[in-house]
Amino acid sequence: MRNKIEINKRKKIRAYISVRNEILGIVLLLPAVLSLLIFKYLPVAVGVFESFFKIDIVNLPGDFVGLANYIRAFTDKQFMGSIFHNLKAFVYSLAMNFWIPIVLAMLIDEIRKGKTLFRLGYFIPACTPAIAMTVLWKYFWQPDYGLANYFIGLLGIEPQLWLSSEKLVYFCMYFPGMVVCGGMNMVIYLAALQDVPREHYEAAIVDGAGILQRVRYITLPAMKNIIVLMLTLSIIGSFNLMENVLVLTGGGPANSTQTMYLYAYQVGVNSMDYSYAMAMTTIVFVITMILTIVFNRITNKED
Amino acid sequence: MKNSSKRLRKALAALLAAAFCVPLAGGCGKSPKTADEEKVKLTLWLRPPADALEHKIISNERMEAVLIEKFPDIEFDFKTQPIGIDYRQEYDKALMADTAPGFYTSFSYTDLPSRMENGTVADITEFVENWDLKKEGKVIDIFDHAISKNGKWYALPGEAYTEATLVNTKTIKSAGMDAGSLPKTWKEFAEFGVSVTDPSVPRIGYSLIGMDWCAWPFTAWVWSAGGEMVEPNEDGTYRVAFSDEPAVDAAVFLNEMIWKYKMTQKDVLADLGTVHQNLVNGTACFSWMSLQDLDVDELAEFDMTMSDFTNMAMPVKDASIPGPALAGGEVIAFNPKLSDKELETAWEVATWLYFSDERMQVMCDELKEFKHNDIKVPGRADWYDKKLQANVSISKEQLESLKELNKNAKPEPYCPHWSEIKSELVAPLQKIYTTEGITRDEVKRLLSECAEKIYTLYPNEFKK
Repeated sequence: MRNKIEINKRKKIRAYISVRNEILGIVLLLPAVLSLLIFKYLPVAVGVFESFFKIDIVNLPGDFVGLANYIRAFTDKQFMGSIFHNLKAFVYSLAMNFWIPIVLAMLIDEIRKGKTLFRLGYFIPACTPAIAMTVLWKYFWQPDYGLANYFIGLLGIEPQLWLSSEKLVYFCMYFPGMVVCGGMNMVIYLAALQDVPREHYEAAIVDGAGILQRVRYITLPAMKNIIVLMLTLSIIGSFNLMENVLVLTGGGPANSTQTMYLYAYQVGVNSMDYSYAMAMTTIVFVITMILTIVFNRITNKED
Repeated sequence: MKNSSKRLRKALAALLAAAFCVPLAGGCGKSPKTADEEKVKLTLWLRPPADALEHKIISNERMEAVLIEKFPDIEFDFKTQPIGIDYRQEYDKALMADTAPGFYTSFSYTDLPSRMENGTVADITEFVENWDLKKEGKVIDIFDHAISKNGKWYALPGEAYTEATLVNTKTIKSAGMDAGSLPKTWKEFAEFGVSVTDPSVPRIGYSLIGMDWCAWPFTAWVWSAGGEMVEPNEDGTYRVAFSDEPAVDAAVFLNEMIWKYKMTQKDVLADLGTVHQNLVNGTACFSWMSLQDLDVDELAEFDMTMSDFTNMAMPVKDASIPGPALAGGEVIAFNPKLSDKELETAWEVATWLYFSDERMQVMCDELKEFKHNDIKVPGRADWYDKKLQANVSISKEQLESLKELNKNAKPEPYCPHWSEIKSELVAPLQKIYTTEGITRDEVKRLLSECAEKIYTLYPNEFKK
């Protein structure tokens, strides 16, 4: 009888502790959740709400226009063109930036001595503010006094317009990622690589596997999850592209780098057409979400 | 254990109670309105930023002190215009948040037609119609067409200016050319540009604006070919004229300056800041600007003085066309959310600040005291000459060149959606500027496509 009372008492204590911990957890999470709701989700919700109106900034929200702003976006050649620019940006980022940190991580992982030095060397540029790097590269590409024309001049090549050239502008935008940036991604890949047991490689070598076979059958499968994640983030990044383009080219030359968000931003700021801008950003959000879901479904199926 | 459970519940209850009581306590604590609270509050965005030129800061401090003394019944809230990406957006954001200033002095008059439509500026007809200074003809009327509509008034004129070609005579002399005989036609301009350009110095003939403001100087280039950007139709709508032959000529000439004559900077999409720097640091001989854009202190950094610069009209396609200049300027618009009493107060302060004899005299005195230059036409037409004479850093010859420029100055088009039209023109113009060897037909096609887009976007305002 006494034991039963003791057990019940202990149960009650455990239940109390569990409830107390839950409450404490909720209380501790509350500031973060509240700030997310207020500063992230509320503006997004207000923005989506506004996209169904013709905004009147004196008497908010203005006249309800239903889907008119969305219909306008799908018939706006410039907006549809900007989708193509986002896709182009994604292709360039994939071709020039995506695979380099993977290769770098593999190479650094192979090094026996000085691994930390190389890792640090590639990682430090990732610590500098992105906007400062972008501005520096803008000077690099400056056609009148930039280093780019100086270097190609040494090779006897005619000076180029670089960021002002429709043919070269995407190359210029993604070149920095190829040569100095990507350190952050490299560290992430390297962390994934270091989880691969050394014995797998040793066994493969014993079985006569060459370097390409080891990469194909051990390294890449081990990194698959992280590669998929980074690719998903790359898709999202390419469709959210704006600040970088705004600083480097302002969407030019001749709108050739005008991405969807940049176009929406310019419509909002230059033409004060806030509702239409919000409709466009909502479309970008939906496109990005659909692409991410589809991509995840495909990779999950493969698994 | 029971005790600790109770304590937890008590603590939570106390927290909740405090959350409810704090706002209540705040409300209960309010004391009856004092005399100070009866004052009309007026927010002004006139305070310069902390890094502004010293004379601007001193001048503003004096102005704030005088305002407080002169209007004891007004509670002033002096603020610096919020730093943002676009000044118009900052005003709109403040308007939505009910924090916009009583009146706003940064809108270009070309912004007004759209703003009159969307109600973001107040109707001040009652005040303007009873304004003695206007009745006496002492207020400049160059913006009247843009700030009034159907007998109603929506803003006061601010200051007006003219832009065309600013010349760095020191750089021209350093190229061994005669700064006394400047080119007047496109042909002469191109020849002159080729002669002075020397990349090894580096020195260029013309510093060209190619960024997203490029349609602004392009307007004056179109005029210099005898064309127009837009033309009014008889029914009150407008015809797009920037794809007509004169505009095509202007665009082709700009392309030739870049690729055929190689007399511009290579960074043809340069922004206004770069273009300005090129001229004041002595790299460029000519650029789109005016004397009023120069600052004595800034020039000193490059071993330049005001006397090294002069104004010139736009070079023209042929000598029969008078060399044009573009007249622009700001207006003073009022916050549409003000109450009647607040609007009256804002009107009183704005008209005193920008139109009273007292303030006009202060403006002239400070020009002399700080030795800086301001050659914009003030809102008070009868004070223009006195203001020009107060510019001690500007020579008589320069003032003469300015007056000469003003003779053929044309106002920037003020049709509806003018800002949007300029934005739409950016892409075709940049395409034209960056394409080497572009054909005339291709230029015509690009401008015509843009014109078609304007007709499609704004069918009620633009008709062929």
